[in-house]
Amino acid sequence: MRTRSMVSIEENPATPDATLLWYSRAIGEMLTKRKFADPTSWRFQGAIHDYDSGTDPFNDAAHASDGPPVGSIRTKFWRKCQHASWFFLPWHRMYLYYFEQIVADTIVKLGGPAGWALPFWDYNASPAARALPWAFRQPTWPGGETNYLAIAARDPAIQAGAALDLQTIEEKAALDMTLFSTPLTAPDVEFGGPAVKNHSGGSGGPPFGGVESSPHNNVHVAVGGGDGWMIDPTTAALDPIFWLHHCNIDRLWERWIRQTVPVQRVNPTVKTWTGEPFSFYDAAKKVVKLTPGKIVETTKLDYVYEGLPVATAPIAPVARVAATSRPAVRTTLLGATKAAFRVGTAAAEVAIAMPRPAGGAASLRAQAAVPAGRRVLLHLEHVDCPDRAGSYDVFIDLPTAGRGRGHPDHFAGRVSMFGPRSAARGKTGRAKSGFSFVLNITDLYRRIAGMPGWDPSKIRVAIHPVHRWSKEIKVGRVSLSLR
Amino acid sequence: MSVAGAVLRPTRAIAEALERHPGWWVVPAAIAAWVAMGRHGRLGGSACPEGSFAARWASFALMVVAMMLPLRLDSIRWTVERTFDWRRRRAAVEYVVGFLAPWLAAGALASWWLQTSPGESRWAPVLAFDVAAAWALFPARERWMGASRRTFALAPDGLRADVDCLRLGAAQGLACVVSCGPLMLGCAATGHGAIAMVVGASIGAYEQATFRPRPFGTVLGCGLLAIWSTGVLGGT
Repeated sequence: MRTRSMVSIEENPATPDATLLWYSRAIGEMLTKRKFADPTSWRFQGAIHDYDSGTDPFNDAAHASDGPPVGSIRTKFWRKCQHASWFFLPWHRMYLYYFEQIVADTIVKLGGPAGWALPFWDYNASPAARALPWAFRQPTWPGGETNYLAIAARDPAIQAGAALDLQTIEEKAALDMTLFSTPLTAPDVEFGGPAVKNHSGGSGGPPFGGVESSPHNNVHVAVGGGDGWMIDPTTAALDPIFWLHHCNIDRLWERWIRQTVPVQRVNPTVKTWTGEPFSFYDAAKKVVKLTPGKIVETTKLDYVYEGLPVATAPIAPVARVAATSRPAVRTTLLGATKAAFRVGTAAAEVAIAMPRPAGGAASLRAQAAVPAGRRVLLHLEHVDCPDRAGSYDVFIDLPTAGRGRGHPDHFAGRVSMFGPRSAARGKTGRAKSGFSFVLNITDLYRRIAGMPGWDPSKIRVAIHPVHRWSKEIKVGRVSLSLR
Repeated sequence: MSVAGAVLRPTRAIAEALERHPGWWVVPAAIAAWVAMGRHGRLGGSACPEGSFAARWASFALMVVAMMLPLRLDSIRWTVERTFDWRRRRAAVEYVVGFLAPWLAAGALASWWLQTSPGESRWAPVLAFDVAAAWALFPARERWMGASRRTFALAPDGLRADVDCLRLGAAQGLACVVSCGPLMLGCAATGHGAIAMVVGASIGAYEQATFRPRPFGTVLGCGLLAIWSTGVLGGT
């Protein structure tokens, strides 16, 4: 049984961390010694996630003789990453599983130790852990050996050792979610993503699942920066830190499933989720298939996470009933913007007009008292953006426009544009409806509703670009609903 | 279980199902359409069904209601959940009207063709099912199927909201016509034969229910319909 451990974050250690040193050597072997068409090559592994010859950093004269595999292989194995979907977590677990086998096998062939396990980057472990681990920032290992973990194509500040901010690595909101999935059409958000079906692939801009939105998307964008690999799904898996980041997302899934308060978390049990097959290559270059139903227990994949007890308690059968989605609850639209608007490099603020119900302001105030068990959701719908657009912070009813960072008590959440190119071209037949984000602002709404002078008929939503390099985005609609 | 519990449990389940699918009323509409077609149709259909243009067009419309509307429950729900409570029913109806419009236009064309060229239309079902089987292999069809679920931001109320709901239905309906038109034309060309419609509806349900429908399933279904049409209808 392999144990996946926290990556070493020691600065300038006397001796290099063996796990990372051998990881670097394996990457060197996979990147420089193996042909692109080899399923165990670094480039092929990256292309499984997503690929575009236009963004491929190795698609140059130096690699002209190193062509891709035949079309049928590309069609079957490349560009298969699952996003904004309840397959996001299981697909990436399978992807990591075979990648880890390939790296471990490569290390053994290079004369290294057996049993190598992928480390995870838990950016929430400590303030020091928020910086990109030291080994990923040094161009060479002590002694001059090339360090393949360090690449230039990252955000310059992150590459220099700057810490990720707390909004980027926020994980509590996702871990607090009690269900794995939401129905396809529901304007709602749960931990693992919407239950997409078929070509509907999300019947119109399916929202990201909780853990996919934050910290997953946020970290991708923050580490990638305006020009790096991590911000674009077509190049993200070429960055060695990608695998440690996803290992942490996989670990968060394990943390989530172990929670019992207020209810025991459970994974979906329906066949449409458990039985969906995905194909990969293993370390022996054999085609293998896995389904989500076969990977929900990591021990069956022969690994555990450091610091997490092995789950042994049986899951209460009654909890399984609610595994997929919330019981039928009417979603009541409270208000919405009337037209699309743009957010440029400066902050934008829009007002959501809340129609006055019978009873006037008193009814509106009553409406502000969110009933127990129900949630107030803020939706950013059909967001169109160019590649590498960046991240945006969302605030509610800011006292003074443009001073969001000074008002964390009005902070609704951060949304990050990871993968607009993939979404726009309708990969795997997915509907091209732009991004959608759902933020659970129940507590914030209650707090704001209790503030003096609050106008219940008009909610103001401010959207602030996080990065200096953020690009203009177009938001189709911002709405508020009670679910 | 107590008597009250035995009564309440299914009642609650029905209430939840209705809440989950605010467009539930399209299901009885579809059932009514199946019944109406069953009363006047034939099991195997006919290569040269008789009837006026209006009768053919009406049958085509019934076929769309029977086969296509139940597959749009998710889209109706999507539309309804993004509008205010007081216009939920209105939004659902507007979506359905918009969705049916391209199908009715396509049905008029198909009925006119079948009406005016009875000699050629003898082989129309075979041809249409063959085209449907071949079309399923094209990536372009997958893209059109995706387009049949594509959405855009809806205005929350007012005239713009009405227009948006109609537009959404029409846009999805048009994409649906392109992706499933040959199959539906084949069913119409059999004189709306029950066997063809049931197989056609099964293909639609299969493509709707699975995450990544294998083209093989659609090709197989359409291919079997083409072979069946050749054998049964070719001889009539």
